[in-house]
Amino acid sequence: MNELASLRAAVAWTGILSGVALALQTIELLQLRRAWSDDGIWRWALLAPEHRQLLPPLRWLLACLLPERPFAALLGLRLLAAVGLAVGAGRGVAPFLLVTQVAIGVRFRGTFNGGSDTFGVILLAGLSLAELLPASATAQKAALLYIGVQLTLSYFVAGVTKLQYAEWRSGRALSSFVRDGHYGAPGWLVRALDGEKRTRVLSWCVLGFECGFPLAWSGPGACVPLAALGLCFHLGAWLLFGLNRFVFAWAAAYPALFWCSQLVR
Amino acid sequence: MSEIWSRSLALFRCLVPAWRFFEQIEPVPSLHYRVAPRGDDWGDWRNALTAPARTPSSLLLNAAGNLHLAQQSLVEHLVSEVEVAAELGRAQDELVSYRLVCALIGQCVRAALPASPSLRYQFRLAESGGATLFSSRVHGSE
Repeated sequence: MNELASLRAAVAWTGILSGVALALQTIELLQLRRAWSDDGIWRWALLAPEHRQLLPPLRWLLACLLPERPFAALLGLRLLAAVGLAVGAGRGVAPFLLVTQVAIGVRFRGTFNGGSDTFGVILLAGLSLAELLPASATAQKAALLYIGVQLTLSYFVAGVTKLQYAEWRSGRALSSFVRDGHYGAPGWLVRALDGEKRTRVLSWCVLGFECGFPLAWSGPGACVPLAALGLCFHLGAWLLFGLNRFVFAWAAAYPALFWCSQLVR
Repeated sequence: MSEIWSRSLALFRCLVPAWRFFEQIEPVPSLHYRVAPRGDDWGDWRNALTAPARTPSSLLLNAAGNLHLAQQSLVEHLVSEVEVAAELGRAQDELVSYRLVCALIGQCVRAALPASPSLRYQFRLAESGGATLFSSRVHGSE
């Protein structure tokens, strides 16, 4: 495959996988309408006063988009756009999806699902750049580099930060999270990870994977196994903490990383 | 003024990557509520948030699980905002996070008991050891 075709394929696959991730997230939010309806937890009447300090045009825009009915319509359009992106038929939808991604964050006072919302912004910022300048190979490369760098930082910063804490190096942090009933980890998994030695070994596997992730840039030979490990890592986080959105959001960035890994050759 | 700015900026925090997941062991507060159907006849404290069971299909669609995580995050915000409000001498029950948690408890109460004009409820945040971090005022079933 020549260089340009490889570039186009990486952008296309990033778009397809991002579309799948965003479509699933949007269906979840539509399923949760009761929670953000006018008599739900995140009801507009309780949230709007917090926007008083924003600039008037921004406050007006949020007041148009975020009450229950327009927000439901926005999610409906977002679902269509995400499906369009997933099937490769949604040329030009990434900037719209980026706006909806930020709107959802504001609707839930910052984020609905923490890091996965932020990662959605990163994917869509990169894809927006690629879509807004479709004829520019430089723009496509910048988009993939941005996504690849942020993906790598997401693991590396998290790993280096954890490494500084004795609780992570000893395995006590992981043990504590596994046993914490707030996350609803399945009983079989809690029992399987019961024991100081096991959690210490698993803890060092996590630290090694996260801190060693920049090696993926050394070439496809390292990138592919590290991406496979990354998928296992996110499946584990889903089992332990219920973070299903992270699986799809991070997997959507792997084609960009694969393209980046070929730069070093 | 800086508090107002930080709150306004926090609304847009999904724009700023911060890759620090689960780095420290911080006790996750529990949210409990109790109900008095009539007068001061208070029932026991009940757990307001229970994590739904993980199923294979929740890998694809996990609405209930993600709602649970968002509610837990809301509780953690309330803990930090209550601390700031106490330092600044502000009324805690005017905090947005207090009102959102109140709406959450209102849903729990409505699901557990039939509506009644005399029904009252209260919630509290507790450490994993059971010690109370914060108690709400008593609310009617309005």
